[in-house]
Amino acid sequence: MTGAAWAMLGVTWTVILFFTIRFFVKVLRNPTPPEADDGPDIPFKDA
Amino acid sequence: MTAHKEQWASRAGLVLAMAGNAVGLGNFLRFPAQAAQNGGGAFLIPYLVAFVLMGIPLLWVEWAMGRYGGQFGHHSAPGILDRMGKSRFLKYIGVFGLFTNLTLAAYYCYIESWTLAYVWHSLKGTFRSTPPTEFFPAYLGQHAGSITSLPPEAAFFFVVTLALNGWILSRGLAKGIELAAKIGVPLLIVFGIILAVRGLSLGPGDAGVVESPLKGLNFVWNPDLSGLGDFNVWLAAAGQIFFTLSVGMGSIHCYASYVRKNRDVALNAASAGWMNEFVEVILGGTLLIPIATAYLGLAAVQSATSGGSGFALGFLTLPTLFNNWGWFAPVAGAMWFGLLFFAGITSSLAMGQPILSFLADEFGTARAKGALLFAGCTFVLGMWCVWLYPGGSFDEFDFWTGTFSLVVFALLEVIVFAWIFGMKKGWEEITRGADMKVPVIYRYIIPYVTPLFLAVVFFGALVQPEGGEWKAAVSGLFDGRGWPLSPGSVLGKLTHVGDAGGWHGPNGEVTSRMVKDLSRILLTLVFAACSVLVFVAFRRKERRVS
Repeated sequence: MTGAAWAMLGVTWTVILFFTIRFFVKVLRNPTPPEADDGPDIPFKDA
Repeated sequence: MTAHKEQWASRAGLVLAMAGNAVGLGNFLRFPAQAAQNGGGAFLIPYLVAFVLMGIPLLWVEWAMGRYGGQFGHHSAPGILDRMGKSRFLKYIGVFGLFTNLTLAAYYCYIESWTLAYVWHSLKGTFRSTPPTEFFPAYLGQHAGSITSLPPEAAFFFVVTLALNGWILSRGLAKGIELAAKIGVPLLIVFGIILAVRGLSLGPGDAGVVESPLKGLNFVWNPDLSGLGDFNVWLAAAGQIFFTLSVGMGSIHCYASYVRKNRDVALNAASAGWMNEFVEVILGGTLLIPIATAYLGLAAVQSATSGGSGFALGFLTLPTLFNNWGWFAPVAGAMWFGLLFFAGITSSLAMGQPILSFLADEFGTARAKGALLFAGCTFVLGMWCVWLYPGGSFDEFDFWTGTFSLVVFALLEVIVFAWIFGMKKGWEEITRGADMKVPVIYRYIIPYVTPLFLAVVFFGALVQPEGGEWKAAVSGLFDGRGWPLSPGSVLGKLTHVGDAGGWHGPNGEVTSRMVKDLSRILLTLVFAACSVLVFVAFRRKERRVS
């Protein structure tokens, strides 16, 4: 592996891992409880 | 039970289902070959630029459109698009969201069934005695000179795959799709990590190893910065981002339509999108090419991926190379094809759900019946691909539904969202209930930059010149030589560039050109049928209101 290849791999992996973990952890920390669906709010286009 | 009464069981499950929708076979087979052929590490620069300027905005647009349509009881693209403005025509743009999923599923489930068959044959040890280069054509029933095939084993695994898809879909969102994603996505990541660690740890002392796998990794990552000035590299990067995220299909709209009005879509979309990038760039870039390089040498791998696809390496070469791994060989084969299978099925389920939702919303079709109808239609269309695979039906489906329709739909939907629905309302939809701060610059990127990016991708596909020589093609226009269309461009395909002859050969035999034309007619008929269904559904609804 050349130094340039390692640099590209290192930077790209860091960026991707950072955002993947950051966003998914945020999702896990804010779980949305299931709620009852009472159907569509407005059933038809011209309602 | 109608579709609109359903909901996701958990937020993490929804994000995994969306990530599973995006993660497909292309993450492992197409991405590494595209990267290697388009400047290596330098490819990642236009790739990430396209992700930020086109991929992420499209994800937010589709999630927001889906959640908005869901408020009105619509969970498929025609109804969702209908809600975006006053024009009655908008719902017909949404027809793409039915047509693409149905026809894409037909051939995609066929490939998915190959991976299932390969899992079975890996565990059985078939590839110890039969080289995959012999196994694969025999499995597909290919014979020299024939444009048809009816392979019993491939048809069997196709039916099994369709039955599995139908069964999971019939179980509903939470107990079917979400559960499959919660199992499939983590498993494919674990399989990928195990194979990547094993592959990268191969050394000169291991049986059969001719070169360090790091040379393969270097092939993928070494930046050739001259590629940054090449229009084709930017087109390839934008195309890869586009296809990897499963945008322009209508499946994201469908999944997001089950999110309640004030719940987040911004963070969910970003999380699913980045998870797909993790699987594609980190796992996809570390598996196929490094392992193949270790056993075949870099020159052979460069040659095998020269067409921009790692398909041949994945299906024809890797099973043989795993034989060098001793007792672990069957397990490694099962893991490789298992991860491809999980990547495939989480995507094909996302193709089925919009059809089920449309039938449930508009015709009150029960879920089990809808699943059966979807599996049945997929079987009929899929058998066309199975039967006429050697004649090129499969490639026609792939091009017109898996490439062309996606770009057209994405371009139209982003214009509808930004310019008809309006960015004021659109921005409110994207940011309402958001659990992350959406950078305000996207308020301007979505209406201007994203459509421009898509228009360039569309234009590039439409008139791509022979050999990708844009400069020569432009100068040819001015010196009277005309525009040399590539046979792979949209116009090149429509006008049969490089495909001389008619529907019959010199001895009256059917040619692949006839298969291609009939496949196009079939696809046109399917699109027309979907349009009629939408017309009927909305007319029924209007009658009910009046």
